[in-house]
Amino acid sequence: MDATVGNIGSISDPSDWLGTKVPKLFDLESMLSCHICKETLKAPVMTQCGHCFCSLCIRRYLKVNQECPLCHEVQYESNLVKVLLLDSIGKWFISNRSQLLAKLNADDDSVIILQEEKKRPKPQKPVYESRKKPKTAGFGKSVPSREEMVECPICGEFMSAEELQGDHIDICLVGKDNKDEKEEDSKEDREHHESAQKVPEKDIVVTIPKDQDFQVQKAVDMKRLAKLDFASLSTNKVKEKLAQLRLPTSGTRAQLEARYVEYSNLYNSNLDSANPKDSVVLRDKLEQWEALSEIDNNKSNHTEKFNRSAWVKTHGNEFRELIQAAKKTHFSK
Amino acid sequence: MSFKGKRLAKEYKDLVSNQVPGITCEATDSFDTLVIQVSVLDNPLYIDDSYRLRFIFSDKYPFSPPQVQFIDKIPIHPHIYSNGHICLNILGNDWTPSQTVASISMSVQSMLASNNLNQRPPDDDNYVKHAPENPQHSSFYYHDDTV
Repeated sequence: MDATVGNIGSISDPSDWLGTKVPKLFDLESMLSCHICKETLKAPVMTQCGHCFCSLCIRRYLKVNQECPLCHEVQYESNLVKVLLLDSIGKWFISNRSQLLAKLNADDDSVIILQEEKKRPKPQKPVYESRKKPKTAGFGKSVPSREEMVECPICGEFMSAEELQGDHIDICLVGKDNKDEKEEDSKEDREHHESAQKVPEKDIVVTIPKDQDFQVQKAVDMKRLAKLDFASLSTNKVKEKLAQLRLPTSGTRAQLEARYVEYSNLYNSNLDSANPKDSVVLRDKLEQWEALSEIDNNKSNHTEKFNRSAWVKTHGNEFRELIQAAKKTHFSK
Repeated sequence: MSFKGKRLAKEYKDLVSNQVPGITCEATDSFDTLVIQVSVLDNPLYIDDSYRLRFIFSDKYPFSPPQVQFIDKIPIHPHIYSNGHICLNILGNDWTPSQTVASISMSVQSMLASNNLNQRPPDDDNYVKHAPENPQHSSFYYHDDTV
């Protein structure tokens, strides 16, 4: 089925956010969209030039033209690297999108406009001085309100974002004894350095739970399908390759090749997903793809025929005139 | 829905809901063809007119470029032939699937906006006589980066 204007409402698009309370989410969704299919990135991969696309999309495109669609740099399929974090972000976005959209659809007129991030002015005073302010100034106007404050992910203390991003986070990461340090007033800077040196380097032992999905991709063969050099393969060999993959071996030579190429696209892009699907699902997808391309083929053949007859109709007179003119000059000789 | 259909549905929705000044999409029944009305607001050569830009999408879209040309009234421009064909690299060799109907329309619009020559391409007569119906079958030589 082809898209028609009738079902346009069911199509999700970044522009859906423009009418909500947070129109800026338009930018976020645009950034999370693949430049080729315009949908939220699925099993994203990164090119060597640092651009991300759906694995399937870029693999299909690189079969047509071996360059990055964004910067025209030469790219090879073998250099694509999967980006698991982006994959999970995309998945989160897809699963929460409709809920978020419904919540943010403005029934009142308030629109939350996110300010452009201001460049933080260079602190003229040393940062540690400004950090003390909340403590010494009591509850004066310089104290940021609770809403403006952020929680330090390490010590759990609340402070302004600026302060946290300053040296607090570094100190916190080095060791927890910075709390005592903070209480000291005048010699803080010096002590900070000393204490930083004093903190013994600990070996950080992180245990990785082994049975998590994304770490062990069990039961999925991680070997990628190779590109075939069709020119050097006989039709029987191609059929053999397809049979090995449990794919149908019917159709013309061109169909067999197209089938293998599309299946390798599906197969290899499936491996770039955080949780790859079984090959049964892939074969189903291939079947759907083939059904669609068959419809397309029939359609284009049909229009070609139609064009030809229309062409003859509109230009038949001109052909006749040309033939007559040619005959005239030929016989007058 | 096919890959092409899905992508064009998104592009159409974006064109309709996220409008760019001077670019409007005409209503359509199918996504095989789209017509975009382009008007140029700040160039006296084109100021009172709106031009119709027709896009025809092959089944390979977006992996191959759409067929794009002006229909009806053809703007005067040194890269636009009087049969509506446009000599623009992104419609041929430099097409990439990251281009969209909107980005092409904007390229054409800015091509018109920045032009100050009231003339057709130098080989217009000759080209129009022999031009194939589909501008993609012409081998344009993209030589002029100034306009």
